[in-house]
Amino acid sequence: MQITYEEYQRQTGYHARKRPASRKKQPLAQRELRRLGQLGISLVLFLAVFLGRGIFPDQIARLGEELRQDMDFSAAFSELGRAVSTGSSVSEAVGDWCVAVFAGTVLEEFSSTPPPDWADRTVPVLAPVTPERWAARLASQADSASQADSAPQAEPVFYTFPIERRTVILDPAAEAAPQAEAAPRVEPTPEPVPEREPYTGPALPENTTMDYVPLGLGETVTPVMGVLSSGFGYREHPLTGGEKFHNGVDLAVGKGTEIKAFASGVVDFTGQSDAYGNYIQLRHANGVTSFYAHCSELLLPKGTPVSAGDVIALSGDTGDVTGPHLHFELKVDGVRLNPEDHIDVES
Amino acid sequence: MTWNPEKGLCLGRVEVGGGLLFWLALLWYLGYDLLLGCFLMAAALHELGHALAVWQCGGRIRRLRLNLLGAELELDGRERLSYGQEVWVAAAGPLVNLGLGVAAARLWQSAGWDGALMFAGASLVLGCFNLLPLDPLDGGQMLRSAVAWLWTAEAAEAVTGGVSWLIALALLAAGVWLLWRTRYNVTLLGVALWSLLFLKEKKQKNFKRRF
Repeated sequence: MQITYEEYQRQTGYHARKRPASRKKQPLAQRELRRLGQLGISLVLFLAVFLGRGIFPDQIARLGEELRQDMDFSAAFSELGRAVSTGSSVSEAVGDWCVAVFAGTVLEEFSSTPPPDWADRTVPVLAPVTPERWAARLASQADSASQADSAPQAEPVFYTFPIERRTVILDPAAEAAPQAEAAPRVEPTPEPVPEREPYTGPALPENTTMDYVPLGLGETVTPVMGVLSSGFGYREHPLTGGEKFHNGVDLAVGKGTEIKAFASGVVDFTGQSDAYGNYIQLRHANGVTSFYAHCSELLLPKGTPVSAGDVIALSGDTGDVTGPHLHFELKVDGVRLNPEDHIDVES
Repeated sequence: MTWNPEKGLCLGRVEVGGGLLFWLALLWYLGYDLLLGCFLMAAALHELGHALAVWQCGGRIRRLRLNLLGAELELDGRERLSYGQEVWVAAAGPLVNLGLGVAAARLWQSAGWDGALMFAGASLVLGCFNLLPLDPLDGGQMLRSAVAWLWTAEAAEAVTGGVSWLIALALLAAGVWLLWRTRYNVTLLGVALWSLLFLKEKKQKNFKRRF
């Protein structure tokens, strides 16, 4: 007896295998679940940042900074556009962009902003290296390095991207070097070099030394008399945790304390940044510079000549701080040294 | 305009995934607005480049789908393109990006608008990145179509798959090395993980021509 196909199907329970209606490999319910999961995660993250910013604005901002490591992606893109517009080849400019984004930090200001407080990041310098700056950097490297085997490059490179630990040398004094012979070389008065153990700690960042460096400046003055709350060298960052290198010393003093010039010289630059707050740098003889940060008030403009002991600023708690103090750094030809060797501290 | 929980926001033939919308909103909130705008513009022009090439070859576009992994231009299967045409369509996107990027950079010199620089940067990066011979990217598509044209479709899949995995693993290795070296720059690692995710996702959707 002839039966219909439907009847046959019903009787035997046989269903022709359906052709795969779609190319989806998962059944619909699972895909939906996955989508919902993705939406859920996005929502949770969004709420976390949204609420977190409202409740813990500082912590969130700091976390964001740590994650981005002060990297300004926008600046990297703008710099890429600028490179191409000024004639670099696309491949070269994109290569530089890759190194900046994947291997380093982009600084927001290129002129007179000193590098961040924590010298443990690799730093590509995305500022064009002018011939003067390059020559000054070579000169400082030749001075501080004992061996001069590597021949310095004759023509300035447009960008420098070292993937090593180094502090950024954006010393605008190098720019000013051809123009202002501010302080002539002073005959170094013989200073007694103290006996000390050679440094055996972890490797130092570049352009940093633990050695005693005689400055030969004649009269020097301790900028403020305060308790040494944090010394020069490796320490745990008070705000973010983690072992980092402190480039100077922290002297705990109340807000508004007068900060005296370490030695006679001229005001190199002043400025303001999120990390350092209000800062001022003095340039002395023999390539020595002194740097004072977290000030509440800067009293002298750039270019003012000062004598040792002149009041140059008032201390404070501006910038990235846990309390009011003076952050004080000393450099000779761009090499950071330990200020504790040259100032007095309260015990 | 409709909202479909599975497909996302549907405006005619364009679908925007929900996850992508959330991430865009998040980035906007975190302050990347100008860069985000430049990037979206560069991406839109990129897809437009593909679309123009498709239409020029006589093909038809069925759908444009945008999700977290990227943009997907789905062609109408009735008008199959030849392998040479596929290479041209795939190349059109990065070419538009590179051309406009350079043009915008030169334009900055006369116009002086900083947004042009950022757009130029975003466009150039998008163009160069898409030229990587990683499978779902345009570079991978070009490689596949070229190999298929020279040999067979199977060879094309094999070669493209192999090269893609090599590159993804190389990116991963470089990302890990940079993470250690730079303490802690996660950018390249993020890109590597994204590309691995992309490859895994792609395995589930075989033979789907996406531009």
